[in-house]
Amino acid sequence: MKITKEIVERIEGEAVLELEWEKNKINFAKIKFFNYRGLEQIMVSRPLYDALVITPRVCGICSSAHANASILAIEDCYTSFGENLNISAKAKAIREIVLNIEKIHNHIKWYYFTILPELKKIDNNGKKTAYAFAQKEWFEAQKAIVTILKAGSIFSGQWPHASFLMAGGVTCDPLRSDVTQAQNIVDEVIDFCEEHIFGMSLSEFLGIDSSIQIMGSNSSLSDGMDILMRHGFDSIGRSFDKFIALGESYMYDEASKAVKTTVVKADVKFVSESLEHTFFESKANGYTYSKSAMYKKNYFEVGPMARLIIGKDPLIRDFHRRFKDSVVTRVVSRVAEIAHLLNRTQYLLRHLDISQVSCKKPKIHLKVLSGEGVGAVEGARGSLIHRVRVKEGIIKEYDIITPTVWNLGNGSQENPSIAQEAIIGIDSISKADIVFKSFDVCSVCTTQ
Amino acid sequence: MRRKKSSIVWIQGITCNGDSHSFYNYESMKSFSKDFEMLYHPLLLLKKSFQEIIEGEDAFDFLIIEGALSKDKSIIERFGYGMEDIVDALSKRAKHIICAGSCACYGGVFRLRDEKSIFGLLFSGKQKGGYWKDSSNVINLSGCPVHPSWIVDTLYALKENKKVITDEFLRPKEIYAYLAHHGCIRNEYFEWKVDCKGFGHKEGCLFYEQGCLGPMTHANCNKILWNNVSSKTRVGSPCVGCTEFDFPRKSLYETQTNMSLPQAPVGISKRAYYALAGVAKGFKIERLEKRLMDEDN
Amino acid sequence: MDKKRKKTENILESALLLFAKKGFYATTIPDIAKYMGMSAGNLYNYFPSKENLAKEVIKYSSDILGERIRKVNDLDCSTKEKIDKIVYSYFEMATQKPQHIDYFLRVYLSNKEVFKDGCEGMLCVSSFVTEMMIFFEDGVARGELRNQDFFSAFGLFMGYLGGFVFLNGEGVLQKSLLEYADEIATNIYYALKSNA
Repeated sequence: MKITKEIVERIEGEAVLELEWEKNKINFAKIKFFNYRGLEQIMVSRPLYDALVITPRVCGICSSAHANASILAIEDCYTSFGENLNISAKAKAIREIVLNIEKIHNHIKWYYFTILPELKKIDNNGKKTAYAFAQKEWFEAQKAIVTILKAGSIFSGQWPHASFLMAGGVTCDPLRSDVTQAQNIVDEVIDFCEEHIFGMSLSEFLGIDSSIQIMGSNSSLSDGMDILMRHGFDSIGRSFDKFIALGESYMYDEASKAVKTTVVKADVKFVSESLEHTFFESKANGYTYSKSAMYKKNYFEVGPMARLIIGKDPLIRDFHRRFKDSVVTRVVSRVAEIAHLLNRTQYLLRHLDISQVSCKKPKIHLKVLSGEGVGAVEGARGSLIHRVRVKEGIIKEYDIITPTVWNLGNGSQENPSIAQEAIIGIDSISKADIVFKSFDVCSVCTTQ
Repeated sequence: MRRKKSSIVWIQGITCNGDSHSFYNYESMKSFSKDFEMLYHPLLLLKKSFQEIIEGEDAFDFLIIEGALSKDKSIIERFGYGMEDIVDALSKRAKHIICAGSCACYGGVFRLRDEKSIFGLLFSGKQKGGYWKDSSNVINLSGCPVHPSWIVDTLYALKENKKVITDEFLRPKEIYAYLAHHGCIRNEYFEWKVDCKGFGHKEGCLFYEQGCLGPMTHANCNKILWNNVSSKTRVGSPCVGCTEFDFPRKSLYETQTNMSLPQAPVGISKRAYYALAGVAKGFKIERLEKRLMDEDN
Repeated sequence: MDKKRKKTENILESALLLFAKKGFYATTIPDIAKYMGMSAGNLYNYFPSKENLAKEVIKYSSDILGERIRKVNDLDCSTKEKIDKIVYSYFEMATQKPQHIDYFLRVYLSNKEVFKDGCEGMLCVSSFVTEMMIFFEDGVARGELRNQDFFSAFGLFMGYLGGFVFLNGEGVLQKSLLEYADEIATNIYYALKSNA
């Protein structure tokens, strides 16, 4: 049996894949993340609200998702201590707007900064072509990213590492003119997406329910799909067809899981974290700093594909019917989610009632707050969970389960994780690399 | 006529990638790319791979370092290389070194895990001497994250051989001589000592109760704004002092006071500040006590 | 010091003495002028009204007391020693120049209507209060005093001293004011000291 070590680059850091080969096919893959940073420990013995500043620093690309998970965990502490903080509809909408915008930015960035250049390379027999900092399309995508983040920053002050959340609501108190500005900025990004990504109007795109309609469009999404299909990614990268989404979303009613397309209710309390194969479990035998997240001891895939399957999106259901949970469905889901998020964000902005209160101060003083709290949000890459235990306002324990830990954990040969299952059986490293990247891996989130 | 492009190699130590993502928020990237060439950046497929950069011998203009550093390979390695093989080797080929973000400058948030083995390039917190003892061609651009304009403006100044005047932490004064307080739209509330009654209000100053460090934090945030549109204090959140060596301090949402007296703004004597504050507080300015937009009036 | 400033200071000293002794309303500008051996008309060249003079007197007195505390603040010694020195200095002033403390208690605090315009809040006693702020802040920063609200600490300190000067004025104390200084300073220290 041959074993090779491959470095996967450009995944918000890097990972090492230790591949076991049999008959020129990958038989098993160990996924190794190094560079542990210890932020969970740094928070211990600090005042609870410090988590709102420190947790965004887990990750430069999904800092607002961390801030959101953190505030939900903090507010859940109040609930468990007997005070139900009534968050205004306005504050809830602003939280979602900022989170949606981070996701829109992420998906555009992932498509143009990460996956499309790799696909172009594969299509060019492995030779790089100058793309980032070179082609018009890349500059326009970068401009769209700058633009959409500007809309979010109107409410969050800045991106990345925004501070705009507080127990009881949000710290900002926007004016009508702020909302108008945000609406027009989002509209500009819709223009970009219609021209470049969708190849049709947003409303048309949201109305389609067949993969063929995308393939026929003139857009960078159909360009990417074209390459994926030509290289067989419609059948590569399949995993267990098991999905989970634990954070709230307008796309479905409640936290749910799906096996194939059958959706049932899920509860965050059944989530556990395995230390198997990590340095935390054994310094000598461990090989990664990445833990593995499981739901009732089973691996589930998180991310846009999971959300859209659970949300019964007709287009992604069609992709799934044809291509199962392959790379193609995963990639298209991430891009298609941009359309949903843009539409939803414009809706929220249009209906934002700025006359409501931004933040209701908790009655319980922080200095007496003791208990435990859990917060789950749907970040760009999937379900993100923060758990905190607090005593008299001071953090005693903080635990973060990131989406990448769901998708990129390490199981065993008998019971492989989501990404391991997706890689097993592939016959080339370059293809395994694409499968790996199709999860939109975040290395830094994994080793918080 | 555009001049010859200057070349950049961007490397990372212990980081969250926030400085990279902040950099990609630069609005005039196309113009920037006419003057600079990014040879290597960890997040993008560019001209050079990591291997090619590390094995090459060519000189380049700028080495940008993001993230805290450590000589301990069990704490940080990249592609199997320890920091010594990366930072020390590449710096010999670079004309200028720029530390992008508070982690590369002082060690930042990640230094808190192990202050004896995690450093900024030239500082360990406040202490001079970090990963290296000293170096003459380093500019520090602190911030968590760094602002994209701080990087771009500094790159241009150095490219054009302009003299960059720096402060005691090797930060360009053009940026860090300002305080986050400058340009804050809540300044009048600070002048008259009217505090913000909780969070979520347009009115009131966040310095007295909510922990704002704007008057003691060096940065031009409220002058140039973030994402060209806003800032923490503009959305009612306190400045957390992210450009300073002691970021993140403890209790970031609570003003640290002695006998309910806050720390005086940077460079202002307690006597001057308390005298002024005590007097200002004695007046009740009705306009400032009211909502900015009062429906009754 | 130029002649005009010297004269101004003399007027302030005289006014302080008379106001403190007879009260604000029972003292007239002609009384003060007479005491100084100058004409009332000339006095008006220095101060446009009795109210204005009263306000300037409180600032003048506050500056003098503030200057004494400032000297203590500038010393390199423990907070306990600073308390000793502030209490001693205050009682010394109450003994040697009782008009300062009397003026504060019997004129400034008792006739707020006179001071309401122009002496809002701490405006006229700022130089003294500022020094007390610096004293307290420093004590907490050094870990020697308990961190608490400024006014709870300030009230305890100054209320205690003021009350004692009042008792002294009523003639009910057995010993001289300065003989109580040590014990009072110790009480203040114990009341305010850090638990750590």
